Amino acid sequence: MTSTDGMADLESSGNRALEGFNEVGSEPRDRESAEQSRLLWVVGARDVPFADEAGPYGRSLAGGAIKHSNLTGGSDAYSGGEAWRIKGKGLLVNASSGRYGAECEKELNEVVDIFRHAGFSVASMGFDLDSPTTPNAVAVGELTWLRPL
Amino acid sequence: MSIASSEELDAVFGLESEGDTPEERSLTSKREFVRSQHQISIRQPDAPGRWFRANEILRLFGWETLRVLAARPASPVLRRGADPVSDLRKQIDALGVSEGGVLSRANVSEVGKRALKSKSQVPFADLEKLAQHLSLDSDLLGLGSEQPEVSRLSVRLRTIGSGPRALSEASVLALAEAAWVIGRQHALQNMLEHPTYNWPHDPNSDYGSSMTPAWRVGQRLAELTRETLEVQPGAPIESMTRLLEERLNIPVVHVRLPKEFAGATIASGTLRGIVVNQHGANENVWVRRMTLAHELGHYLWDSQERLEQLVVDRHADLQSDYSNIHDPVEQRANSFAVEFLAPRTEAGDVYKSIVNSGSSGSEGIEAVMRQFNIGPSAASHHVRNELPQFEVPPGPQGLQPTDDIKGLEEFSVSFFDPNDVPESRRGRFARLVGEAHAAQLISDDTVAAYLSIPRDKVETALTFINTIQEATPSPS
Repeated sequence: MTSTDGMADLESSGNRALEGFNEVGSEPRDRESAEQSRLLWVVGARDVPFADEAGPYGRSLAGGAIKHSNLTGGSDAYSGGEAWRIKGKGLLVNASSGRYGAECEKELNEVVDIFRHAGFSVASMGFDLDSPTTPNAVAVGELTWLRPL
Repeated sequence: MSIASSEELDAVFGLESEGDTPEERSLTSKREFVRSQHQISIRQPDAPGRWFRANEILRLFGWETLRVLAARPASPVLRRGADPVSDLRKQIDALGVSEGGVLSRANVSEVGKRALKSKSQVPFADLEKLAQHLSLDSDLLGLGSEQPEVSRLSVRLRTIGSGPRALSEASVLALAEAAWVIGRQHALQNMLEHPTYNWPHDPNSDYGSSMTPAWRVGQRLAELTRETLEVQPGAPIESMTRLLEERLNIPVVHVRLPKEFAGATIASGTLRGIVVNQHGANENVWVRRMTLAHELGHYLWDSQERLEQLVVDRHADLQSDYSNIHDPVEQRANSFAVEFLAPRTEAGDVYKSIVNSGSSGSEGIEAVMRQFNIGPSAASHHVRNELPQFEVPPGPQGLQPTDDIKGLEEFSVSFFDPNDVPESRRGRFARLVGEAHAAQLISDDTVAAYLSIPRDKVETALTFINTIQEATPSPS
């Protein structure tokens, strides 16, 4: 997947990189809203690619959506997850990736700081209280929004 | 629904699972799944949350929700606009009880209490406890599905009585939990494909007239009931509890209510059950048998409309001579109860044979009590009505039922190992839980949740249930 397929790189373009992706009005808290305008991201060795999971490129694939491996070309990455642009608030992220996802709060917080350094206000969905190594796939409870660094 | 690929099935249920469909794979999967407030996931080592078997989680959420786990660590389960905590709070309002009262009664953890206050994630085990005590189906929390009939019925609890006859918050919550047990017991019976008993008669709307008093109608209905159940004419009913639970498949839930309450029949649509107070006069097994028979009279013969009103019966009414009760519905149920347990002709014969042999009237009543296992007031009123020509004394006080009849009626309710299992979850309910676990339909954790015990007591409970299963005779 390349930029012509709708992939944006945070490393090279900063917070302007995501301007082409849709914003949603509120945090996704249920199954249906989580599927709206969901972005996938990875933190690789040299780039931080983002893409709309079910954008035109994703819809052209057999499963109707991209996977994290489409962003990495199958290579290793430091971390990966999902994100939503929340109108008036910033970037809401989680560690939901079968292959690249963080397994603890500390690891995810490091990624949050990367996004804050890129100029975003960021909130993390965190991990499941009932399964602490499983990232939350939707927002649960009140979120804490952190300013850009 | 699209077809599940073998890659997806491997990823969700594990490589060791076998079969071509999610159902087949789920039955052979060694994986366990955690449900939390908002999502499900494959259980990781040391995950503290509420966990389910693979076939259990598939039954609850379906393949479309599970298949997400082939590519992601968690699959969201909540539906748009739905939230478990909102579902619970709506029911708290509907029942007219306080949140503090429910939290305390449901024994919610400190973590759960703090989370509810701070609006953060609540452990699912706590949400489930609250749901049970509010007669909600925890499996449906946050799914936007309509709650079962029993949940709607329990809302009517707040309308029972008024002024001094109104139910206290503790009583409303005890009955709401009983309604949950009744609903879950029906669900377990269906899951285990137990045959249901089809009562062949329609409800009877005859509550008496100037020509035929309601108590006479009750007696006739008792005769018809005995005949339908093929009870030997004049024979005592060996065990009311077993008759109701094992033969008629009627859930009987034992709860602790204020002493003045005897029992209640809970009915909503097809979900019905009987609630019996363990506290007060029902501590005597003779009285409890009469309460059960009285509720059976309501259960079998009252119209659906009347049952939906959910009347909670008080001992003061049940122990009166039926001819002195003004409410024809209760008069009919009372005369039904005593006639069902002690057919009047045979009760009169027992009394006459004792008195005619030179013994006292008191000894005659005692003989009736022991023959039919009914209490002194009931025996005395019944014989007096049947034999108006006799000077029938009040029933002798201080007599106790035999250990045999106590054992028959209280079997697996008065004693349970572990003792932490509340009385409301003992008896046939516990046996069905054990049966569902043995059939690999529910997880150890579901057993803990249903029996309201800590995880480390599940093994003890299952061993005990297994022992009582073996000791339970098949229904006759």
